[in-house]
Amino acid sequence: MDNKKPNKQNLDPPKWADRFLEWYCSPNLLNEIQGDLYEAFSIRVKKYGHRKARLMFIKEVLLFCKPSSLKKSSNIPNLPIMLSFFRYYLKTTFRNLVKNKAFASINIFGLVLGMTAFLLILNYAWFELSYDEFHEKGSQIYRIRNDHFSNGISTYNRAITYRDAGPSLKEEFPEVLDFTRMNGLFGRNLVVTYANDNGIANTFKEENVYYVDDNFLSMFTFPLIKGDPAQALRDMSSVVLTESIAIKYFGTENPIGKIITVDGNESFTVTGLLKNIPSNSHMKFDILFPIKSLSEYQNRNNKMWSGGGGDVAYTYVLLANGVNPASLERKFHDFLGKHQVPHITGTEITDQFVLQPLKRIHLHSNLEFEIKANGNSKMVTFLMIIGFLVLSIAWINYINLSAVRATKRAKEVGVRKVIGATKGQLAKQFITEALVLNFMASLLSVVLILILFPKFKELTGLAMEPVFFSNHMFLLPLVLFIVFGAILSGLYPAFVMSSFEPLVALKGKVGQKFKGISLVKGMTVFQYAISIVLLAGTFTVFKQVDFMQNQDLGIEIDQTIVINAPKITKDNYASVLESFREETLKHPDYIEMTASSEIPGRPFNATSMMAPSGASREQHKKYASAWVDYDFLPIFGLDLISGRNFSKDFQTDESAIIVNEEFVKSLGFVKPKDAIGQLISSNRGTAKIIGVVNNYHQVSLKNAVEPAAFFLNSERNRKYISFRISSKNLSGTIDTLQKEYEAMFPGNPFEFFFLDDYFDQQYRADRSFGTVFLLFSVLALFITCLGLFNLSFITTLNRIGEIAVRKVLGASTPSIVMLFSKDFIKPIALGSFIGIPIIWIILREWLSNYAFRIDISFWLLFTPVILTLIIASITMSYHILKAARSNTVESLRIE
Amino acid sequence: MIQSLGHLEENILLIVMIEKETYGVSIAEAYERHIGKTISIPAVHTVLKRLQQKGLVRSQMGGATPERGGRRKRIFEATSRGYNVIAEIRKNRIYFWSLIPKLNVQNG
Repeated sequence: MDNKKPNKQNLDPPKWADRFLEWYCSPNLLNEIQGDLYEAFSIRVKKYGHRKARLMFIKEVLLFCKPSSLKKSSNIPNLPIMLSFFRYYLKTTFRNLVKNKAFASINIFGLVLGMTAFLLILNYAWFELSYDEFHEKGSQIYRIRNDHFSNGISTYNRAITYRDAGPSLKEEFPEVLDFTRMNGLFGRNLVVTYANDNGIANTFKEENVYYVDDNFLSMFTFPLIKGDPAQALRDMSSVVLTESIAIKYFGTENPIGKIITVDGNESFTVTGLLKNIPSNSHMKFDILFPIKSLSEYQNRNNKMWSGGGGDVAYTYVLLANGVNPASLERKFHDFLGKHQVPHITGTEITDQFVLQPLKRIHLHSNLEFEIKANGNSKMVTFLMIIGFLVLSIAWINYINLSAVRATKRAKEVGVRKVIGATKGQLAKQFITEALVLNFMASLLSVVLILILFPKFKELTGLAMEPVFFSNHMFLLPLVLFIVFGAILSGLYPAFVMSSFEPLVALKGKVGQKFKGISLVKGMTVFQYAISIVLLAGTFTVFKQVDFMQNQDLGIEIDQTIVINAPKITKDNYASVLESFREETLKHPDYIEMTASSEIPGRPFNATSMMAPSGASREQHKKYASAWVDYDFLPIFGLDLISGRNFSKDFQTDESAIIVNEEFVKSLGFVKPKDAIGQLISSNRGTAKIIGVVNNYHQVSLKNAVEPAAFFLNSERNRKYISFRISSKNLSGTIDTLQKEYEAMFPGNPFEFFFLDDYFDQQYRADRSFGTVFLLFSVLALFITCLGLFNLSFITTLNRIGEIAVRKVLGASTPSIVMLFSKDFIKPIALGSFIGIPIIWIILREWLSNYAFRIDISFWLLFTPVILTLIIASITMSYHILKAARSNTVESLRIE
Repeated sequence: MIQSLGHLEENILLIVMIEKETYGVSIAEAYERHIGKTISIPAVHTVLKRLQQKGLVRSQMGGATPERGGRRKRIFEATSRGYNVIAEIRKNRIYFWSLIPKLNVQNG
């Protein structure tokens, strides 16, 4: 019978509870307690059934768990003894460090690099996440996002909404305590002049200008240095400036009460001086005018909102405490239905309002017409991952090196054990070592960061401020994280070393049979995989940027200088511009001039609704539109594929358009020639297509070419004046231009730029991404090699006897090098095997953001592998060669 | 000197004196049988430990059975002091009983 065997399986109480009992119960009580519980269990199974018996068993195990039945533990901390032990651990740690200076310094160096990289990235991420945290009422403030649908199809999602939406929201919803609006220039600019008492004028062009409601400064927390936030924007002719702008105009004088002139015709009195706007704010502004100074905002239409045009504003609402934004959003549908102007029959236009929490705007919004370019939450995550990977490479180095070095320290461990050290004490010793090393590395990396921070910022172009030493919230998790990492990286070596059998360890035979080697190899593979992933990423990013920069744009942007067209003009602007052209072109350095509404390098600003004439209203589509003059095509080198350029010989060209190939395609013509002579109706009248130009790249190659139409310019649309010049190194030439400009257009600031530089700016983000990638992949590879260098040193040292024997038996130096190299090549091969598919997926995803992109070629993925292989071989060959060439007799004597 | 005993302690001590081979589970079983209530094993152990500290029971390790998965029992028996304490309690009870007027009992 089964019963004869005292067997736990017959009884089957819950295993975990049983083990728990065995764990806590003092051994002299265990027998009776466990026995009683088993016996009671078997009785109860018969009496109450299995389930209940198990439950009762668990309950009683827990009930037994009380001080009287606990193990008389020796782990109860005894503080003074612990401290003296800790001192001892520290002492041995430092002795060890000093004894192995080279090893320790390489180890610390790797940790410092990894940690510095990680902390810099963490700082960036932290800064990105800190956006708009400084507003006192921030958690209650939401921005209205306006989603627009036409026949149920989403047409746009905007950061701006109807200008009258704010007041209506406040009136109709008790949940909305207040609203404030901002109206911006949307790409335009203002010319601001301040004339001092001596009649000397300071004139600048200002872009970061907003018109805001008078409660703007009390809703948001933008502190005023001078002036009353509640009153500063009350008056229609008041203006509030930031500190740096005030210094630009008024120098050291007190700005309050000074009068500035805008666009030469409006005057405003300075009533407030703002502290400079923190860079972690999603709004950036230099000058605030009262919104009431805009005529549209002086009266308002209560019932019906007018949309479109300039009648839009960024609208922020302050919700009452505890209001759930989602439930408020649900009420917006009826609200919108009530206020919207009925639209053209045939199309059903609907809007939807979404409440965006203020603090989420920077990373999670990305709508049309954002105030300032949003951050990219993906980029933050991505960089965090890279930073963490680099740090983990450094930690892996530590683990690997300590584990391998364990063989060297086997004798030490053996002696300690013989003397009576317990496993726990040995483990504590090694964890202390890890903590000390990590602590030293953190201190050094903090110093390094202090030195490197500005350089890093400049190099990578990441916008951030140092947050390390200002923010306690940042420090605590950081310290915890590093301590955690240190313990983790110390745990494995501690575990391996403390488990050596003392006798084997004393004989020094641990090295050969050391099981930890497979883990070391696995981790090395992981390091290589990371290095290869990062390297391949770097190559691809740089190749893509290079590809975009060297691709034929279909236009000429070299040797072109652009100036902003004057804003303050008189009625005879057209003729003044003409004489400006004549005067400037007299100078030999200037070859041609064109005035236009668009220049290459920035997306088309304006759009028109167009369709072949005779089409119904619904068939009209939105096309990018530009206004150019007769010289636009030749100056920018656009190819006419068919038809002709605008010409002064044709009076009718006022109502003619030139289109690009994409436009022709979207009309449905196969050949550009067929489009010539077609009549196109638009909201600007009917026009005839007279020419088709090539699909040149208006903006960077990130974007596809969009269909565009060019109109012969009307005066008001001249925003840029571009000159083709004969050479670029000409400070004198620019002086001439400036003199002409200031003479012709008094009161306008002279601002110029070179078009090729301007166009290139579009790739700045990509280049900074590439630089970050490069930086971290070089770091990762370097740290990996540091580890490899130490690793190869130790392994060759361990096998020095073997090498000697091989040599005695006639092996040549190259054959020995080959033998050892195999050990290092294998993990690289494995690492690439893992790394290449990962990076291939990531890169495909990344490249899909670009309309024009490179192919992921074989070489793109394998060059990193070969590079890693070469660098790794150089690193390790030093020690291997040294060992292979060493004196055989000496080596054998060591054994 | 009269040793003070809790109600549960008294009952368990009585069971130790009544039953032959008494250990945790058998006491819990007997308790259920005689008193009609269940008691948990940890409770029995706690009481036995207290009784032993007071010197009213003594214990020694007994044998193992298959039900116990080979674990040995701790067998308890009452000491003479244990017997004395119970006798003392009994004497007190009888004395108090004799003082109770009969009428009251009938009424009760």
